[in-house]
Formats: sequence, structure tokens, C-alpha cells
Amino acid sequence: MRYLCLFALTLGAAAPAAAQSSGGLVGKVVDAATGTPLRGAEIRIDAGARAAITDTAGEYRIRGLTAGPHTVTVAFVGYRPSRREGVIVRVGEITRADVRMAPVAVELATLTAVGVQDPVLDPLAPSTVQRISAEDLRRLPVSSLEDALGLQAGVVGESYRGGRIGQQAFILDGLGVKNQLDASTGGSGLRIPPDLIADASLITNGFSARYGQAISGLVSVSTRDGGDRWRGRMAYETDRPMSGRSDLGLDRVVFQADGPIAGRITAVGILDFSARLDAEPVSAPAPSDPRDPRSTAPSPLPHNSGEVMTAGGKLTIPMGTRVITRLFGLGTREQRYLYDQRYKYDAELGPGRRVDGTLASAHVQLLPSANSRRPISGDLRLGYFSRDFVRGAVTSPDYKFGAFTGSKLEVQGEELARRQDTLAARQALPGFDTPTFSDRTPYGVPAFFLGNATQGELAFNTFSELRSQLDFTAMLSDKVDLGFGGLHAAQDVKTFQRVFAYRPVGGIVPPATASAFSPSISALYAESQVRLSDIAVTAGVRYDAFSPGGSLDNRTLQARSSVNPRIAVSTVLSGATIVASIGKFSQPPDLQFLVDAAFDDTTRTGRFRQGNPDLGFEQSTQFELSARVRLREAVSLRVNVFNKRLEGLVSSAPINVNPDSSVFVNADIGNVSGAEVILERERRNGWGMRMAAVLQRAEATVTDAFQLLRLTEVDIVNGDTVRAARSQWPLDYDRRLAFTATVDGELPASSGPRILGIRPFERLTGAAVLRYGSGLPYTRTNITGDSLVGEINGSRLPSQFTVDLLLRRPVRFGGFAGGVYLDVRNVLNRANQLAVRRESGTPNANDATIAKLAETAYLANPQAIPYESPRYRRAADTNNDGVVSGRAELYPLYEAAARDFTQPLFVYGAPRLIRFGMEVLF
Amino acid sequence: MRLIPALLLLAAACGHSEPYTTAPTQNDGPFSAGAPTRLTFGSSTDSAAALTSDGQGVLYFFTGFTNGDRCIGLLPPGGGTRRWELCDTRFEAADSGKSYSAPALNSDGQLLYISALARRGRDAPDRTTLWLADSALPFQRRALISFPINVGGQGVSWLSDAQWTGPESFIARAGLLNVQRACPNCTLDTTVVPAGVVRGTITPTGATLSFVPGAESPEVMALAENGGVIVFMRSFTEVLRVPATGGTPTLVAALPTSARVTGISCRGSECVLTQLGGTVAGGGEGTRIYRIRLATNAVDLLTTVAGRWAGPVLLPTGGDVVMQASTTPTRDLYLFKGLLP
Repeated sequence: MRYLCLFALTLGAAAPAAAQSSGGLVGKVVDAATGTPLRGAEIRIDAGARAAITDTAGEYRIRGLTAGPHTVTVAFVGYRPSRREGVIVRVGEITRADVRMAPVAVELATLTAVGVQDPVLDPLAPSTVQRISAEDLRRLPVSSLEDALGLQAGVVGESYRGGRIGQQAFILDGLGVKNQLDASTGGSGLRIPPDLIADASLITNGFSARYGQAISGLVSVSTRDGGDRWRGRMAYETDRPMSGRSDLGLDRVVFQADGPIAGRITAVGILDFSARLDAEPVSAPAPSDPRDPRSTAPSPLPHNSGEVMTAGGKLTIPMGTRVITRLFGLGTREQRYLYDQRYKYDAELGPGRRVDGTLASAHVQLLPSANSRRPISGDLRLGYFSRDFVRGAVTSPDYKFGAFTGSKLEVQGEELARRQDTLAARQALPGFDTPTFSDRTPYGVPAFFLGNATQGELAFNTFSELRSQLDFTAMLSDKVDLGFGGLHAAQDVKTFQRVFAYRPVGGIVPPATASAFSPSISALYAESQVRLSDIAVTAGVRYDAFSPGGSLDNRTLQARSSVNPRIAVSTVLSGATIVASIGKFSQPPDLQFLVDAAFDDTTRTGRFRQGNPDLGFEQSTQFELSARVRLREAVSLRVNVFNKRLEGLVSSAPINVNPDSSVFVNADIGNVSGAEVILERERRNGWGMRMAAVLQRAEATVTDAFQLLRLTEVDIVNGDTVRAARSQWPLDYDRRLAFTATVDGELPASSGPRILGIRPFERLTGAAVLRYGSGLPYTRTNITGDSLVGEINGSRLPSQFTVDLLLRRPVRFGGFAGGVYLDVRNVLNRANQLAVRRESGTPNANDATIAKLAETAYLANPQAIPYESPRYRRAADTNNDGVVSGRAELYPLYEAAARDFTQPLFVYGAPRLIRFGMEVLF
Repeated sequence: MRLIPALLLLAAACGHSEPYTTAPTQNDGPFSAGAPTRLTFGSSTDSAAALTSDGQGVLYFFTGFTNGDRCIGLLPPGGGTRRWELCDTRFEAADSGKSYSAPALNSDGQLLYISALARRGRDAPDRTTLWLADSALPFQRRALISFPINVGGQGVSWLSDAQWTGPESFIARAGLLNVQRACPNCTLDTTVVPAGVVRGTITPTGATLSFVPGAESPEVMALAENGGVIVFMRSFTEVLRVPATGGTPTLVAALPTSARVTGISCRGSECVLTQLGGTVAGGGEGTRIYRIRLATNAVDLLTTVAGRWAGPVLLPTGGDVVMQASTTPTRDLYLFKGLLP
């Protein structure tokens, strides 16, 4: 049946869409025969949507073009019109397109535009940019922006150049969007549908002073504008035809359409809904114990489903010839049921999480006058961003279609959390019951696995920001550009946390924590680029300020400020473009570190973590030297060498000597240095290729409360400190070596044999991604977990390796174009280890650990289990007396339970993931 | 444009693999087929068996697994794994010892029971409450009565032997709970001084109790003849009957011997009664088991079984009887198959 489904699902339709967003085009029009500049030539973009006239030097400048390919036509009386298609405009950059025009009377073979600025060699581009085009998103085996970013050099998961998660900035259509509350532990809550993306960039060096809130890098995304005719795409992806471990319950539906709605006003709308029964699949091996239900059904995991629903829209409203207004809205709801090994046998009691991200923005773009000798463009952006997070006890999902529930995930006690009623929360919260040891396990014994009730967790936070941002770019002369602007963001934060909600506060139950405050950030910047022949100097300075707001900690808190100069020099030497840049960067700390928090995490930060409203900026100083060269016309090589000095990183420090409490301080310093080599063959003649290799070392002090207390070691003979409490160790994302290779190609229309009138390989496209990464560091501990073995992060995980594959074939059905595709991740089904147990250094607990766990559990509950008890297991009643009693009968059950409980799951990465897709264009 | 919906339907038809599921492990049937069949193997006392209204289960008390509190369990009549249990493990009550009494479960799943909470180290209960709960959600319950209360001029602080008589009514044996030492060095003893049989009516605000006239001071009691008759004993020899609505008690029969009666259970017009005493082979202590036929006012000694037995429950079919062995150390429930001819 499944293969019939597979066959049936291999019917559909496909299509890309032209990419568009914001950049500029400049050039010079000359007489092809004499080289004389032509004044008054008319430059038209895309059949006249934008136009300019050349000045006395034959120069023209057009700003505010949407990113993507454009058709440029040049006309001048007495000359043969020139036309070139596919001139690429990049986001935030100026592309140069010089034109040589031939007089009508002269026959000239090379009559089209020449010299389109090479993005590789462009000496005017000081940033180290790795681009992801809409074409990449379509051609490569990626299904999200995050997937695509993961292919770039210097990226480990969501860490950029060794930085902590969240130390990068995210710019959407020029507007900064960041979850400043807990970026290090949670994302923005927004999912950008790939069908909405025109162009994305990852910038990892001393980039423009225009951007702040980032010390590890910058991700910039431009969304597409509506086209001049209605078009759209519908797609459906699933793994339903598969079975067993390959069927993870995936369903994804995408609907996108864009086009004109009135006059020149265009619109884009998108719905992207996906759900998976196992939203976080792992390649953990099946256990060998036949009593364990995972031994026969290792996946999907129960109570581990997730839904992501994104809806977005954009209106582009030209107002006259120089003003364009764009209204944009995007909302994402992600709701997850979270598998918890403690609730393996009562999975429905596991927790759940709901995250809502909302963005509404308005962008008024002032375009420069076409004939101005000092063109100036401006952008006013207003944006409202919010992220709403809640996690805790949930009811079992009621699936309607696949993993789609069609309803909002409700968290028990959410209303109280939103009220931030810490007084009422001192009592046990209504509806919460005490969890007990599960009696549904194959072992029966009261140990490890919980049942009866949830863990009593309730966490809520919301972050919202109203941001206004003004940017100007002026071309002061042919040689000098000036950019300046600023922003102000008024933020609002509310948090609430309660643990052990079934118990009143007291004893080991910390009081509920809540905070409500209104921080703000603001910034001013100015940046200029001066071009002298083949040398360009880009210099800028940025002033960042951050205030926690007056309502935090019942006292007036001072605003913090930081001045961040940045400079880059670029030139061309022996055919290679050399760029040297250095810059200082500051970003406010996660706001979560400013407020108190309650946890049930005794091994890291304790049950109560004290916030520190006096935290200041985290800072970095980055230096980079890069060389870019074209080895052949379509082959480029980029080499970047960088060093990043980190200062004032937020870390937890113990309060006195109590390991159960800690406070956050700007304490850690570190250093990241490395080299990146990127070899790229552009897509030509049906294929392209890219290889990126990174060598890197990322270290910092790690004044973790847990680790600090246990690390300091004094020689008992001479009193010397034999192991210091503070020195540099590898950061968590210190991947020393990473290698990524992508290759993609397309077969011509006449490829392959014709079978029953059909060429199966006709215009078949394929892409493969190979990734290798050396092991990340981790810290070994002894079996009790209370002492470190070796240095912090002194051990390494095994290396990781994956191969991904995408095959796509265009298909037509009736009047519809479309396609079908097969996307396979981790083709080799390699079980990559993302973590290991600290005491064993392997995914599995060793026998000593299991014996210790089993012994402790047995001694805690050595009671006999009578026949009528739900815990009675006849097979364990070896003397057949109706009671499982005594060590001989009970201990093996505890040992088996311990082995089950410690079986590794989320220490393994994703298994082979297969999805079939079909798409229809209309 | 009609293609995608069609494909979606097709895909839906394919379906997804389901995650593994776990179900409670249950033992079916008795552990051993001996006579009598042992139904419980608890390390402490398993006692006070009571038939559910639909006759499909036997409620009983057992000792909780973790903290020694008393719990209520529901056994299949023929033995096997507890289908349900109520142990108050909520944290609010963790500092108290809990005990239950008078469990009665009707066919709608409504559970009537008394809970008594005593702070650890205290002798007498601090709080005694009659609850009405849904057996599926035993802690989402409604307090019907907080004891002690005055019923018709008499104090009542305890109920036992509760049985449903209608959707909103029940009948129970009421008394005064007495926790005392018989002598300065004696162990603490909990006794109930019987007051009478009460009829309870559940109201929107709680429940009201009223004594059934003619059924005062019952040492043991049972409902018979489909709830129309209360069979009870004021002494250890005379078995009396009175209409469930009250009236003048009449003598059913007199037992041949006077000894402590440890329980009575009726089905239709037949009852089973246990009385300590009698001799068994080997000269050990025994328990006499009588059959009482209400239609003929006849008393038959069925058998004398070795040991001390109490709390008979006459199962709805056959002659099977569940009884509690009260001989230390085995205080478990046993099933006597075919005890009643």
C-alpha cells in the first residue's frame, strides 16, 4: 500500500519565483568605438519600472532596486539599443553595470552591457558575505532558512564563529528583529518561509556600523515583493509513503501567491503549515531488552509531536516615483509536545510548549532622484515584534490530520502565569497533582519513571518591542558614500516561573519568580566609504545604548552605552581583492539574565538563580583579513583569517559557596580565531559547486557556578592552587575543523532514454551536501557527577558526518507546471553523537553508573510487590509465591529500569529523513 | 487546481506510523487455584472488602506502597491486578496519616468514601470527611459531610458499610469513633461505638443523614432483598431484620452459639455470616460460616474453617464468597469458591 502511495504521490507540479529586494545599480555608458561618455542616455530597469538618465560623465545611479535579477536596457538617440537580462542586484550593495553602445551605423558584435560588478572581486564590498539565494533554497536539500545557514562556513548549529547561540543579529528587510529576552536559549519565534525569501546573507566579519546587537555575526534576509502578474505555488510534503523509522509523521502544506492588487500596488501572501508526529527525531539505536517498547518501535517517539504554522503577507505600495511603502506582517505559532524520558510509560504527562512570534512592520523608502548629482536615499522603518512563550503541563493532543491538532495548545496554569500572581502561586496550584512512580513500566518497581501527574512546571515569558529605525545613504561624490542613521526600540518584558506547582512554596520549592520591566535600546551610527582608484576605505562608528528601565529591582538603573568604531580597507592586489577590517561590537545581555529565575536544575544553576540588573554589554573586537580571487571565470576562492576577542560575556557565578544558587555577571573573556577557505564554482552549464573548510579555535573563561566550585583544587601539601578557577577553556561550540561541500546540477531536456514516451531524467535536478565536523568539546565528571575529571571542556565528542540529497523533476499536469521532489537528509543514516554522558564519555551509561542508580532506587523502595498490585510482574516472581520480594527478585527489576531510563535518546542527531514533495505552479 | 486536494486526500489515506504505546500491565485471574484462593499478598492488612453496586468489583483497603497510608483498591471479583486504587499522595497531605472507610462505588463510577487525616504522631483523626468523587478523578471530589455531626440528637463521627440505594441516596452504619487505650500500658485501640443505621441523601450542598428507626446499635449489618431489608445484629446471637425504610425489627434467627460475629453479607434473601469460634481438625482456632435464609428464617452452619475470618462478601453469582483472613501475619483476602451450596 505504501508503495502505491509513493507512486501516487510522485505526481505533482513545481516552480521558483524571481527574487527581489533592495540594492543599487551604477554604471557608465560610453561610445563603444571611441570610449566617449554619453550624456543623456536613458537607462530603464525591467521595462521601465525604474529609469535614470546618464550625467555629463556618462554615469548613472539607481538606488532602491529590489534584490534579484533585473533586465537593463539602455537607449540613446543614434545608437543601437542595448539590453541585458539577469543583472543581479544584491541586498544592500551597489552593482556596477557599464555599457558600451554602438552607433546605429556601426556593426559591433559586443553590443550588450559589460562589466557587471563581480561580487567576488568587488573591492568596494568590505563585508565577508555568504549568500543564500532563493535559487539555493530551492535547489539544495534544505527546507528552512536555518537549514541553509547551517551550510555556511563558520556555522555550528545556531552558533556563528564559535559564539554563543543568540550572539548574532537578525535583520529582516533591513529591520532588526531579535528576541532580546532569551536569545541564548530561545529563538525569535518567527519562521521565515523559504517561499518568502528573495535573498539571505550571512555576514561574519567587521560589517557595517549600521548594524548592532551582534557580536558573532549577522543574518540578513530580504523578502520578495509581489510581481506584476498573479502567480503562486502550492506544495505538499510528506513522509507518509515510508514506514517504520522513516515515517516520522510529516505533513507540510505551503501556499504562496503574489501579484498586483490595484494599480502598481502588489501583494504577497503565504501560508506554511507543517506538523510532524516526531518533531525531534533521533537516530538512537533500539534497545535490546524486549520488554522495552522501543525495542520494536524505536520511532516515532510518543508525545514528541510539533506543529509550526506561519502566515505572512506583504503589500508594496509605490507612492509617486520616489517613495515606496511596504507593509509586512508575519506570524508563527510553534507548539510542541515534549517527550520526557521520565514519562516514557506515561508519555501523555510530558510537558508542552507554545511559542508565538509576531512581526508587523512598515517601511517607507525614499528613492534618490534619478538625475541628482548627489543622490540620497532614505529608509524609515517601524516594526512591532513580539514573542510569547509558555511551557508546562498540557493535555494530550487530539490529532486531526497527521500531527495537526487544529487547536491551540493550552498550558495548565497559563492564566495565573500571565497575571504574574506570585502571591497565589505560593500555594499549590489548582489542578496540579503529585507525580508518583509509574506502575506502567515493564519492570513495575517504583523507580525513575514517573506517572500519575506532571512535573508541575509552569514557565511563561513575553517580549515585545516597538522599533523605529531611520537610515540614510548619500552619494556625496563619485568617490564618497555616506550612510548614517539610528534606531530606538522600546521593549516590554514579562516573566513568570514556578516549579513543583503541586507543592506550596517552602523547603526545596523556591518561590515563583516574576518580573515586568520596560528596557530600551537605542543607537546612532555614521559610516562612509571613500574610493581611491582600487582602494576603498570604509569607516564608521556606532553608538549603542541600553537601559534596563526604571521598574526593575525597584531602583533607578543607569543606562549603559558603548562606542564601537569599525574600519575596513579593501584593495586589489595581483588580481585578488584584499580586505582588512577591524571593528568593535557590543550587544546588551539577554534580558533573562537581569531577573530572578526559578529552576529545577541543581547541576547547573541551582533551583534559584539571582538576576543582575547591573549587567552591561557583552563585547567583541573582531579583526579579519580576507582575500578573494577568481581562479577561473566561474571559479572563485575566498580565504578569511579572523580573530575575535570577547569581553564581558555573561556567566553565572556562585553566591558565596552555595552551589544551589548563582548570580550572573559580566565575567568571562575569550578569544576566537580561525581561517575559512571557500571555493566556489558558480552555476553554469547546468552545474555548480561550493566547498567550505574552517579551522577554528574558540576559547573563553567559563566561570560557571557549578563548574567553578568543583574545579578549584588546592594542593594539600603546599597549599598551591593546582587547578585555577579561571583560565581559558574551549567554548561549547569550539568546532576545530568543519568541511561542507555542496554540488548541484541539472540534466538537459533530452537526457536519458525515452520510456513510454516519457524521458524520466528530462531536466532532472539534483543536489548533494556533504558535511563533516570535528567533535565539540564536553566536560568529563566522575560517576557521582560532583567532581570534574580533567579540564573543563577537555574532552571531545566524536566527529559528525552527514550526506544530504535532493532530486527534483519538473512535471506538467494539464495546464499546470510543477514538479516532484525527493529530499533525503543523512542519506547514510549515520548516528551522529551530539552529546555523551559526562561520566562515561559514551552515549550509554556504564555498568557502574547503572548499578549505582539501581542500588539507590532499590534501597529507597525495597518493599515487596504483591500479586494484586499493578506493579507485580509474574516473570520476576521467581519463587512463584505471589510476591516479588527480596533483593534476588527486586534488584534485577531496578537494574533493568535503570538501564532503560539511562538509554540515550537526544544525544543522537536526526536519523535518515525522507520526504516526498509535490508542487504546482499557477 | 483540483489536483492538490486530491493528492492531500491520497496522502491522508496513506496514514502514518504510530508511536509506541504502553498499557497498564494486568494479571488476569487468580494467582493460584488452591482452595481458598488467595487474592491479595500485601505485606500489611488487606481488609473490609465490599462489593460494588454492579457486582463487578470488590473494593477493599490495603496499605499504600510508599508511606504506609491506607488506600482503597478495586479488585476483580475473581482476583487479579487491582483495576483502580486511591492513595492520597498529594503533597498537601504528606504530613498526615490517612485512612479510609465506607467505600461504595456505584455503576456510574461515583465513589462514596470517608477519609480521616491524622497528623503524624497524633492518635485521633484531625479531620474526617465524607466525600463524593468520580472514581476516574478521585481528588476532584466534593465534601458531603465533615464529622462529627449531630444526627437526631446523637453524635456521629464515623461511617462504615456504606452501600448505594439510589442515585443520590445511600445507607451506612454510623457510630462514634473512639481512640483509646484499654489500660495505661495497652496499645492504642480504635473502636467504633455503633449508633445506628443511617440513610443518607445527597443534596447540592452536601448530604443529610437520618437514622433508620428500628436499626439502632448494629454490630454488623447488610442490605438484603434488593435493598428493601436491613439485616443486622445487636448482639452476637440474634439476627434481626427491619425494612430499609425503618420499622420494628423482627427476629430472623438465633445463632446456636454466642461468639464474636465478624461480618454479614446478603444476596437476595440469602446471607452469609461469619462467627469466630468452633474447632477444626488439629484443634486450632476456627471460624464458623453460617447461611441464613430470610425466606424461611433458617440458619445453617455451612462449615468451620481454620483461622480467623471476617468481612464476608457474597459475590453476585454462584456460591463464591470473599473473606479476609484475620490471623496474623496473613491478613489478606481470599476467595472461597462454591462456599454457598
